[in-house]
Parts: sequence; C-alpha cells; structure tokens
Amino acid sequence: MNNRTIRRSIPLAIVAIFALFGANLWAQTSSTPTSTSVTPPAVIDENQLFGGSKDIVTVIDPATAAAGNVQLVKDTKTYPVFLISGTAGAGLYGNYTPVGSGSSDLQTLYGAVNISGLEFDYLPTKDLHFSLANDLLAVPNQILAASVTGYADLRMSDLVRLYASGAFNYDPTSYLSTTKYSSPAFSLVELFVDTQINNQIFFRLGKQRISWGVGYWYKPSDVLSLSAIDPDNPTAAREGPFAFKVDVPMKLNHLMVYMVPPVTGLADSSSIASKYDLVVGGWELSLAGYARADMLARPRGIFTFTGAVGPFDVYGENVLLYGSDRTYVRPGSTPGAYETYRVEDLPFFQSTLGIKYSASYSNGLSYALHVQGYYNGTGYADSSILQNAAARTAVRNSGTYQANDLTQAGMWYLAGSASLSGRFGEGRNLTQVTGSVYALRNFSDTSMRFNPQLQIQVGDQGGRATFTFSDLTAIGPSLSEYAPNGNKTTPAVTVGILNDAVDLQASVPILLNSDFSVKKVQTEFSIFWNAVQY
Amino acid sequence: MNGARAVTTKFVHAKLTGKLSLVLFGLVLVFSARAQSAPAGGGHGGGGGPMGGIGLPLNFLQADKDYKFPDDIAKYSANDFLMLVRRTDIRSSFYNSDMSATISMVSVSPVRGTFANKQQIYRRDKDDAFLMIMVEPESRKGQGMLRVDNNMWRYDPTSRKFTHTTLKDTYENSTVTNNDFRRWQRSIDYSVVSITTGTLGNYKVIIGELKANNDEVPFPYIKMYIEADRKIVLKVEEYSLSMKLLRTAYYTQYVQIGDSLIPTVQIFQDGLIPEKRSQVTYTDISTKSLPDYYFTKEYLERVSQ
Repeated sequence: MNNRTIRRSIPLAIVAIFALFGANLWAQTSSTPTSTSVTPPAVIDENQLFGGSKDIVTVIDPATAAAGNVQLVKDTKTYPVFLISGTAGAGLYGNYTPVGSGSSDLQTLYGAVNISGLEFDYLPTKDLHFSLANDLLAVPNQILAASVTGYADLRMSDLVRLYASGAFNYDPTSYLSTTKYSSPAFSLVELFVDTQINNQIFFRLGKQRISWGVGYWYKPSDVLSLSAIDPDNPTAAREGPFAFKVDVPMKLNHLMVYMVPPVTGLADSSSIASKYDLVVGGWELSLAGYARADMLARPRGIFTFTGAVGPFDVYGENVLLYGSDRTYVRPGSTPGAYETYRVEDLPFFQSTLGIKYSASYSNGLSYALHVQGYYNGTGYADSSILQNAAARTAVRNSGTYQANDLTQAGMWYLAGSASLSGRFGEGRNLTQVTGSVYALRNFSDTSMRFNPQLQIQVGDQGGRATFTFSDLTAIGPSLSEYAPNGNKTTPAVTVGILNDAVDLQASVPILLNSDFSVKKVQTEFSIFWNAVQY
Repeated sequence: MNGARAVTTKFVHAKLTGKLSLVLFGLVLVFSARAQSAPAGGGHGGGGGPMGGIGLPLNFLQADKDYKFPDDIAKYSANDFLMLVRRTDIRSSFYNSDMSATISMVSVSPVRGTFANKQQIYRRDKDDAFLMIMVEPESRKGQGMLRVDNNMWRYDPTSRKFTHTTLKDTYENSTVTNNDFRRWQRSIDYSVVSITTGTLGNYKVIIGELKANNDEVPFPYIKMYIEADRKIVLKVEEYSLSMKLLRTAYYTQYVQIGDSLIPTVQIFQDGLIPEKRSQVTYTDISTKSLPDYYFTKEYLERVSQ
C-alpha cells in the first residue's frame, strides 16, 4: 500500500469512527463523580471535618452487610458511555541531512499535525466495550506515520467473553515507536473466547498473547511468543500464537496447559506446552515443558524462579532442550557459498540470571540497578558469520527456517541498567533530576548498544517543564545483533513546556565508519503546540 | 526413498513427542497434586485459627481481648497507646468474614484539575488477601492487582504479563500508596515514642508519636490522633526520617459492621505540595462470602481487558 492509499483510507477511517460514536455523543457520561461527597474539600479545615452535628460512625447491621451490597454513595452512572482522551497539536516537522546526503535523503520542512494517544471508548452497556486509539503525524499532502489500535471486549459475564483486537501501523522512520513499519501493515493482535467450567477450569481459546518467563531482556523460556524481544523496549507486547489454553488455579498455585494447533497445515506442526506455578513463601517457582510433534522446535524442560534475597530481587530461567531449534549456517565447500544444518541429537542448555536492587528515600533520592546475564547454549560461540548477507540468505532459504533463527544468535550476553534520581526544592519550585542508562552486549559478535539519558523536570503540575537528553548508541559491525546498521549514535533532546502543551523534539542520527569517523549526519526535528488535550 | 525416510522419521518423532508430552504432562499433574496450597483460601495456612498463615504474632488478637484501658485519656501510658493502636488495627479488619466494596478515588490539583477513578476491591483479611480491579476510567477498566500476604502482582493486560510490586509503591502517582489498601498493622510496624492529648473538632483525642521498627513501611515516623471512646483513628501525619511532613491522612467517616470499623471517607493531603489532595470513598460494602478463585491470578487475568 502506498502513501496515496493511506491518504484515501484515513478520511474513511475518520468517518467510520464518527459514524460509530457520533450518534452517541449526546450520551456522553463523565467518569468524574457528580457528587461533591467523593471529592476532597477545597480547603482542609479540621474543625469542619470533625465538627459536624452528625456522628462520623454509621452502624450497619451485620446480617444486612452479609446479605448484599450496602450503598453509601449514590451511583449516578448511566449507559451508553462515550469517552475521548488524548492530545492533538500542530506545528512544524522536518528533516535535514547536512553530511553525506544522498538522493533518497529527505530535506524537508513541513507544517504538520500531530495526534498523540487519541482514544475513543464506547460502552453501550456495562459488559460491552469498544476502544480505538490513534497516533498520527501528518503533513499537508501525506501521512508520515500512523498507528491505530482497537479492541472489542464483549462479555457475557465476568469470566465468559469474546475479545478481539487489531492494529494498523505505518511508520517508516520509527517516529511513533522503536519499531519500523516501512509499509502499511494491518494485523490481528488477538482474537479469543474465554470460558470456564464450574469456576474451576478456565479456558482461553484463540489467538492470544502469551508471556512466559521472568527475565527482562532475555527470556529463553518464552517459547510460545512469536516475535523477538525489542532490546530498546523489552516490555513491549509481543505477538502470540493461536492456542487453546486450559488454566486450573489451585489457590495461588497455577497449572496451565497450552495446545497449539497446526501452524503449517500439517498435523505434526502442532505443539503442546504446560506450566505449573508454585508459590513458596515469597518465591514463585515455575516448572514447564514444551514439545512439538514435528520436532522443528525441540522438546524442552523449563524451570524459572523469582523472589528476593535480602534487599535484592532475583530471577532466573533455565531451559534444557534435546536438540536445538536453530538452523545454523557455515561456509560451504564452494568459496563464497554457505550451507545450513541443524543439531538435533545433542542436549542444549540455556540459562539466565537477573538481579535488581532499588532504594528510595524520603528526601527524594532514589536509585536502581538491574543486571541480567544470559548463556544461550543454542547460539553460536562466534556469531559473526551472520554479519554476512549471503549467510543470512542461506538461513532464510532453508526448509527449516524459523523467524528466531537470526535473533539472539550469540552464546553469551550481558545487559544492565542503572538510574539515579534526586529531588530539589518544594511545591512549585520542585526540580526532579533523573539520570539513567541501559546497555546490552553480545559477546559472540562483539556488538553492543547503550542509551544514557538525563531528564530534568522543573516545576509542578501545569507549569511543569521537562528536558530530556539521550544518546542511543550502537557499536558493532553492520548486520551484527545490536548494531544492524553498523556504528551509529543518535543524540536527541525532548523539551516539554507547560506540562507538555508545547513539545519540541530533535534527534541527530550519526552514522559512523568502522574507525568511528563520521559517515553521515541526519537530523529530524519537530515542534508542536498541543492545543487540544482531552 | 529419502521422502519415505523423512516421513518415517517424522512419524517416529511424532510418536516420541506424544509420549514425551504425556510424561511431561503427567509429571506436572503429579507435582501439582502434591504441591502445598498457597496461603489464600479459607481454612488453610499453617498457623491454625482465624489468623493462621498471615504472619501476625500469635497473641495479636488474644492479648487485646481483656485489655483494660484507662478511663481518663490523660492517664494513658505508652503501652496503653500501643494497645489502643492494636485495637484500631484489629477493628479495621474483617477476620470472620470476607469484605468487598467499591471505592472511588478523586485526586485534585488546582492547576491540573480533577482526576477520578473507581475500583472494585475484595478482601479476605484472615489470609491477608486483597484483590483490586479498576472499574473507571473506562480506558483502564480491568487493570488490577492481587496481593496475598507479601506476594503482590500487578497485571498488564497489554502484554498479558504479571509483575511483582511492593507495598511501598505509590498508587496511580497519587498521594495514596498500595499500603493504604492493606489492613492496618501499625501496632506491629511501629513503636510508641511519646503521647499527648488534644482536641480534633468535636472529639477528644490521644496523640501518639510513633517510630517505625522496620524498613518495610513507607513512612519512618507517624503521628496518630485517636478518638479514645470508640477507639477510632481520625488523623495520621506521616513524616520522613528528617521529620519533614510528607502526608496527612484524615479519616472523616466510618462504617461499623459488627466489631469492625471501616473508614469510608479518607482524605490524603500531600505534605510537600499541599494543593495535591486525594479522597478515597467507599460504597457498596458487603461482607458476603467470596469464592476462593477471586484471590487468584487467573481471575485477575480474566476480568481484565
């Protein structure tokens, strides 16, 4: 789909949105209580709070309370409900390439409209909920970036429902997120039904997100997710499979069985996974197993744990596989050619351990440290072979290729983050300063990336100004894991004034040669007045 | 020939995988059957009696029963005051029944405006179990957290992931902390430093200054104003280590159900930014028995979006 198609579809989408919700605008109901009884007083007057003629204790008959709800505040909420939230602004957006400019590089300055987190929620009844969220960057003659996510949550009861969610993304410059969408992409995010038997056995049937594992940057036990972890946004939601999930809670303990039906049309591409969560004191332990009928993904046993040792939060994942899932590549007998192979008759082991520590004090000082190491037995001891495009092509063209063959292909990893935050002054003169950094290193291909950040927040509430400086830097050969574009550093500044009513962003991606001399300098900048804040 | 071998290999693999799956599944079932039940759930737990399994001192309730408080508030000793705090702790709980309620929280800032949300809460105090589910705003309906004893999970419906949090965390970036939703146990967490008497509106109060005896509580020093006749807390000032006032809590309305007293209107004022205030208001209170599965991660996942 090209930009012209997007330009045609956006007005249609807008019309559809308002066709859906417009008829119910009259029925808008605010979530802000109408009764002053639930709102804190404008001025705290202790004599007024405790000096009234009415006793502050109301006695309720225990039998009445045991029979049902005792209403103390009148519920004024009515359906249907229509809500809107988010911001919209207008300003300037542009690009400029002062060094190393090529014919494909943009040299632009536009008047632009920016929509951020604009969300529509519509509830015709208490158990039905439709939601649509939009982010958009548009210049006079085209949409530069757009993201639309929506869901429908249709409940028959608390535990029985149909849920569907989908997304549309177009973001060729990663303006809206860390993920690049070079061409417009529609996707079904989730589509499942929830049901249960006798409130004891619970089912989730359909395409669903599944988050196994307790790691942060590395989760070798997360065998069911279909997409890789984003190193710059490890908590981002990831695509899940179509699966039948059976869940049996046993107090805090928990038994889950997933059956993944065939994914290729062949019956033996189906798989099964089971996990048991056990809470012992302050620890949560998980035992799990996974197997796929055609053995393309190898059978494995999993043990994970999370808990605390003294003041440290500790977590770990351990996976024992029979054979490796990976399709490997090595130089072929012909110079310049590559051949692929698999290793299916040896045991492999993956293990990760993470430690977190944080402290905060009433004077506003707080700090946090987090480190995670990962041994990936299925990875290459030297994964630099994947920096060769022909080798990657050979893997992609093999009959056993899977999406994760080219991700986390190293054997040894280390990642960590640190933050330090301080507060100065009080009230409207409050200043909050936070310095933080995260870094990831793949020792098997020598690539790394890190992002130091300094945020200064001055003032409070509506008069607040926020200054953020960051510099995401990747170091490594081209096509390496953490530096896919080679050496690159991206200093950036973001300024939000008047509680983000005015928003200024500028970034300067600098491509570096292998000797760190400057190869190319680009700039991207924007300034928006977010005049509309719902 | 190669094709036939591949089919045979796949068939053997499928059989092996099937057997392996059965073994794994069987192991998990055996393990689950043998596993000890978690603290949640009526009648379970290691301590026996109504307080079993919640980590309170064995004589926490018993010592309170026959304690004779002085008739005159001027005669209160430090130990009397600590027993008074203990009485308020016990009466803030429902040890003989479950409790559910809808609570609204309104946060006010003169510049930024008013923000409101509403949650449904479920409590099983005898197991120190607590579940909260967001009801409003609609865009966050279904988000929630589960706490059983010191295990607390928050659920993110976007990534479908549970994460641990601590009781010290500020709730919703407001003047309310997660600890405010827990049943009170100030008499365990604090020691009495000094006591005086005073007046708060219509009520004569005993004022006690307390110091934390562990670092699990969010405030190292507090000053409590307790109305002695009915033994209810009216006001609590919470201080930093340097004795800077961080927050003031006012409990301006109570509901009494049997022996239990719930502060149904709680007003919190920020000590550093006095314009920031929050009010927590209870409604739809019930002591009806709740199903065990309410206090499970599974239920939290199901009711979220």
